[in-house]
Amino acid sequence: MNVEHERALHLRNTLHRPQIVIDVPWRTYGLLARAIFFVLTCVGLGAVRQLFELFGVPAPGLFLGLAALGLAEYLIRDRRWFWTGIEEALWLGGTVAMVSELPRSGRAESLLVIAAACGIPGWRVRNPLFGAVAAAFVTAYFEKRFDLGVVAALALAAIAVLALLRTWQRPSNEWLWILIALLLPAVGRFYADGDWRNVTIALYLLFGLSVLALAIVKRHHALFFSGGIALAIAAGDVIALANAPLELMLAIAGGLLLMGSWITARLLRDRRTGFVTTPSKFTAFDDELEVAATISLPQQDFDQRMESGGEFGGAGATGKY
Amino acid sequence: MLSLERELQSLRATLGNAATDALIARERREIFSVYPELRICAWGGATLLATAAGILLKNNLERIGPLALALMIGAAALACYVWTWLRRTRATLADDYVVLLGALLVTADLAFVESQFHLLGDAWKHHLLILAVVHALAAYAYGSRMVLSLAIMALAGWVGFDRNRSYEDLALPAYEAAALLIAWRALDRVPPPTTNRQPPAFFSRTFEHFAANIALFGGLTLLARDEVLGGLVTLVTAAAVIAWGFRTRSEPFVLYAFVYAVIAIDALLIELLFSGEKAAMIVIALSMVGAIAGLIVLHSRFREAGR
Repeated sequence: MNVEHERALHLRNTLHRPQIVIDVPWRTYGLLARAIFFVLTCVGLGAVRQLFELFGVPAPGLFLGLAALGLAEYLIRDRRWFWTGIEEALWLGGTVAMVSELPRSGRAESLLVIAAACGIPGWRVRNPLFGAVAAAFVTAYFEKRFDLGVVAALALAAIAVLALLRTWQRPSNEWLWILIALLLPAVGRFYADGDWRNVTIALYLLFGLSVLALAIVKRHHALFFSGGIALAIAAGDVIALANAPLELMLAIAGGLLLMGSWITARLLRDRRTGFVTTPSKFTAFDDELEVAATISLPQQDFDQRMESGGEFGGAGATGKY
Repeated sequence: MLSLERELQSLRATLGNAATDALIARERREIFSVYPELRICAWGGATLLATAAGILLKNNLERIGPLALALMIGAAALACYVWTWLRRTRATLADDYVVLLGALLVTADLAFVESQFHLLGDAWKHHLLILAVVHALAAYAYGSRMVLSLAIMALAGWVGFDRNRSYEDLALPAYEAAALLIAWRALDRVPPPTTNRQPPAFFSRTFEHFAANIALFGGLTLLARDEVLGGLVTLVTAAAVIAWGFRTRSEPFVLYAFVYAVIAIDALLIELLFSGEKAAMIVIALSMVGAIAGLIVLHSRFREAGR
């Protein structure tokens, strides 16, 4: 898909005005349909791979990979399918299947091979999530090889943040940097050792505050969220270190967040330019995601696990009385 | 950064000057809405505070005592509701989450009170019905979909659809809960006696999504007890949900009902017609090809029906 087509598709999705015809000469699907097609194709590929092994086909991953890549290329070139989820799953499944045929060395460099197995399909089908996952495997390599996972993750996230300051022509490039900026601070936290807790907090604080400052100047949602994630991680580590009751720390954090958003919303209420609070959404499913997150809270478990005789758990706690 | 200013300029004749200028101002970030950021912060704040309340109840029972704890959390919940009610004419988006906090505190408090004082005795499960009514009243008073979803989950729990039951026992409660939700949705759309005008369908989608998902999930759980019945019930439910999706022009119904149907068909075929790992893998591989082809056709028809 060339730059013009990608931009036209992005414009069509942004405008939400069906009466305005914006022609994109590719078969594409919306986010939910794309995710379902992706999962169905992956399940199908997994079943075929399993079948090859059951029937004793030699090098099953290689054959499956070649077939999947061939089919994906046919769909893209001849049928003009792009961002349907199907050709994306075929490309990713195909490369992963081929990589699975390589001898297992257990060396750190194998993580770079997996990163390539995600990155190459990401580049071909212009899927930013594959690219961000590839970046996560690169940080895993740095952790295994040099014990520098946190630094590598924050460095890559910082590169992504800086990349977001320039103007990109392709929406997929913009989304690649957005996902790296959002994902890698969270990934990096998994590599943080207890011995380096204070350094980790300092690094995340520095990253978070710098990115938030940039977000205010440049007005970019991804920068707000990336900085917010880093600060939340730093706050979580501070809470873990603090010698204070957990409920008190959570209450302070929750109170600050709720009061902060209330005060900001109140201050911006009547504004019409600059920073405003006009209702807007990231995805078509923002409301549904919020409801889903609310009903999956442990709090909801509270009443349902209660039994006569006094046992209950919930709101992040499980207790017997 | 990404800017679609060039494309928007080229659409000026179609969009009109006012709309184009507004969209370009957004692209240039002269107008920048922090609504999503504030929404996530407020949601996070409310849920962290509710979690803190839950831990407070658990850790301080002996030190503070059950009555004082229950009164304290109850007073906090009431304060959230009263404060938002008094500010309702000049509410901001964060006020919705103060209401959510109040509802989460009510949930915790009511369960705590029932577990400590056994006010309902053997009928303790009815506290879920009380909770559903309290949350429903709050949802209507404040127009909150999130609080309505808490009411729906409490109601579903009251009829026995809860996560601690085994799958085999979930099917009947699931269909009871779905039927109750459909009835509730119908009541929600009845015009009030003072006017003939139908109320706005503010909550309708929430009822529909919950009813559809609970019924479809209930159908799948029936597979654990009876493969044929479970598979057929799931397929019939999925067909009804897909038809509803077409009728209301809502794509998500069509898509997720289709996924449930694929799972039901695979389970039926594997359990009844084929046995062994090879046969199962052949069924899965072929059914995925069929499912993809079927979904492409269904999706195309959905798009055509919308034109």
